[in-house]
Amino acid sequence: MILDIESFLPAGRLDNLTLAQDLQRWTPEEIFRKTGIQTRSIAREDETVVDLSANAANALLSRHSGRRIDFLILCTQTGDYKTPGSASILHGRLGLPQSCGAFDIGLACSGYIYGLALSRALLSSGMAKSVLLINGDTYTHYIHPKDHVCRPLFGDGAAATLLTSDSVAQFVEFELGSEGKEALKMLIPAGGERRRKFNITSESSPQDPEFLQMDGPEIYNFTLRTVPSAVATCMAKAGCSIADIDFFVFHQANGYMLEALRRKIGIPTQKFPVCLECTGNLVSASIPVALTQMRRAGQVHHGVRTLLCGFGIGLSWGACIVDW
Amino acid sequence: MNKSAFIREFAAIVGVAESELTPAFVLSNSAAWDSMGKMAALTLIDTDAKIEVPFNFINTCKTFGDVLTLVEPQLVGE
Repeated sequence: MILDIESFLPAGRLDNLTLAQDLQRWTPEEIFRKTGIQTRSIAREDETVVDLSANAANALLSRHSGRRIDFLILCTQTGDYKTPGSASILHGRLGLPQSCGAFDIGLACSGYIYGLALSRALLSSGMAKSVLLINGDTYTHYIHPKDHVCRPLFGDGAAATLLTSDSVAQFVEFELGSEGKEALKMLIPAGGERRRKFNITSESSPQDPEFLQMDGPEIYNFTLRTVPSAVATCMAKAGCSIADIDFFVFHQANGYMLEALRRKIGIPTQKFPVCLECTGNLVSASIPVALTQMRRAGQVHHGVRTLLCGFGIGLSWGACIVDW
Repeated sequence: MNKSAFIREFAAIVGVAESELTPAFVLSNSAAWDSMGKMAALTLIDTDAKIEVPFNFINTCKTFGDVLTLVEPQLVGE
């Protein structure tokens, strides 16, 4: 399944001599003895994981110019933005087709193996004939210059792996595991939800870069253009029509958009639940939360056929038909 | 959808009389030309008039004339 691999290291370098001078703790030779590292590749301040990944991916894809990519998976913990995911941005940078799915997975040092496992699952299931798996991080941007523990160890870089259903190298076995109780033994404490790095004050403005920005009309336009087509394609692939679907459970974005989509696709009201009145837009949880409510109400049960459709940030979309 | 019906519906969206909705009408002069107004316009163009709207089109429209450049060739009749 692994057809080809390429990597990219940024041009910046941090050698042990510089490190010894900065840390004033060990000699260059001692640093090498402790770490086995002479020099680290370091991304520029303005160089992000998408930049590194695009370099690796373009070098790889130049050797496979006729190959259609079905999925792009980016494994990173130092993405360009809190949202959207960096795979979406990389998808645009690489000029990949709309038919190519793109998503991030948030793992670090075990991430290549997990990425390979996911890729294998996509290929083995027939959902994809080719997967472009990217692994990349810019950890050095999150390490203090005086950190004598982490700074000698980490560097920045990215790698691109092309996996296909028709390549010779095959996976034999996987062994994956987690011990979540120890998850906080290695972390960046601030910047996530547990310790946000900003506060809303009287001087804050909705346009400040810390806050979610949304071009409502363009998102709406995107939705009107892509969702009906995705739904139609999904039904065509399954050989069914609106009449064969019991419920169309869409991402509960907002009532106005849902009604516009229902009208445009021609879905009868009784097949189109709108469940966000008491919750608001729950992002990726909106569909399963709606399904939970419908199951409790006895609407979704064994024998029911539903078409689920999510759309939004990325910009991305997905639809599937589930027979319960 | 014909042109008369389109103008009537669009005028209702921006909250002006049909007679005021000339090609030179500056959309931002209407308080109703906000995010919801643009979405209503997109519904009118995309779903009711069945005209595909290019990405970023609605945000770049400064006047009603800009809107007409997209829709008028595809409206059926006056």
